[in-house]
Amino acid sequence: MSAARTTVLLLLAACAPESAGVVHASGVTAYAPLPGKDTAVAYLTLHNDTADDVTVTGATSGEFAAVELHETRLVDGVSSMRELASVTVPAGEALAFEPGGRHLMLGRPSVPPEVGTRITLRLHATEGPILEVSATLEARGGVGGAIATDAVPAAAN
Amino acid sequence: MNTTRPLLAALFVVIGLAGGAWFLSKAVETAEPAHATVLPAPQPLPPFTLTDHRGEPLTRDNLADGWQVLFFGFTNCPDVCPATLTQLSVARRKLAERGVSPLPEILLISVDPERDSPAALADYVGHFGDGVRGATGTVPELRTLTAALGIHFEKEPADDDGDYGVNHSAAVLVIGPEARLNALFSAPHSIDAFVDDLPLLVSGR
Repeated sequence: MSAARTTVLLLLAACAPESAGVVHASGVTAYAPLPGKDTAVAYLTLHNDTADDVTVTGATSGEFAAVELHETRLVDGVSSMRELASVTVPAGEALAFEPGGRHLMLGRPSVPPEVGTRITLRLHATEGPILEVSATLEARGGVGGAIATDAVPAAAN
Repeated sequence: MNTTRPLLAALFVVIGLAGGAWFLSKAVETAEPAHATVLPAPQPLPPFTLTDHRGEPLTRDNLADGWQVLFFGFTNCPDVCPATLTQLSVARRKLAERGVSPLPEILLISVDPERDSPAALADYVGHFGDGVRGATGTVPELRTLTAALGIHFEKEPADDDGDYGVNHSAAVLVIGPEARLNALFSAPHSIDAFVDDLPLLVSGR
């Protein structure tokens, strides 16, 4: 897997004022849409180093008009996908968005979502934005693409 | 000069090598797929007619020769369908590098014929390199095949933007000569599982 080219740009209030830690992200990886498609996908792991649970209620992007929290589920061998209203990262823990599980669906691009395009993602809580990260759209698998999918829990959606 | 010792030593070496080779051959003979579920008796596919990404018919007879790894999905799936196809295409590339023969063809059958025209499938499968074929058909045609294979698919209601998902079984099926279902890989999948087991399956062990 090519290293995720990720920069945490901005870190805003993560939770209650008395919290000493921060919320940050690692492993941010975003894949450009496949040929003929306009939906990209992003994965990352959220780390909640604060003393309080943090609930992410949505996400936005400067390059995509529709960003949704989604989850692929595999039940009895059948996969399905559903939109998540929110996800909670417990205090002191991490929560992964990864292939075959939770992911950020990036739709309605406002710029050509080509490989190499730099994008920003903002995660929001009820109180407001909590985290902004950037990533570069990578080619997914296939010819010359990133091989980032070994041991992927393969449910489809 | 005493020639007995060198002869005995050589004899022990020969016996040791022969024994090692025998054990190795037995080990290879008895290797079994560690990840795939192999059917006790290969199950013939029913007659069906789909259309592939080149606009050509895809029938049971077209699958009579060689091996296919078959995955049901759809091209608007942004998460795991491309992940599974990536795993399969990477595994196929690794098997080719190892000289595995015959190399299985990767076959994506779309359960979303409404959106997945042959042209859409051609764009999509072309991304995953050689040896990948896409196909779809009418829902009744698809049901003919999926019912026989125990594959489930179900279109979800569209949202306000007209977008919808399709729930479907995530197994990868291994179709062998004479268009028979030989084995299946249950999700979650991994490249290593395909690389480990497919050579055993296509060689008939």
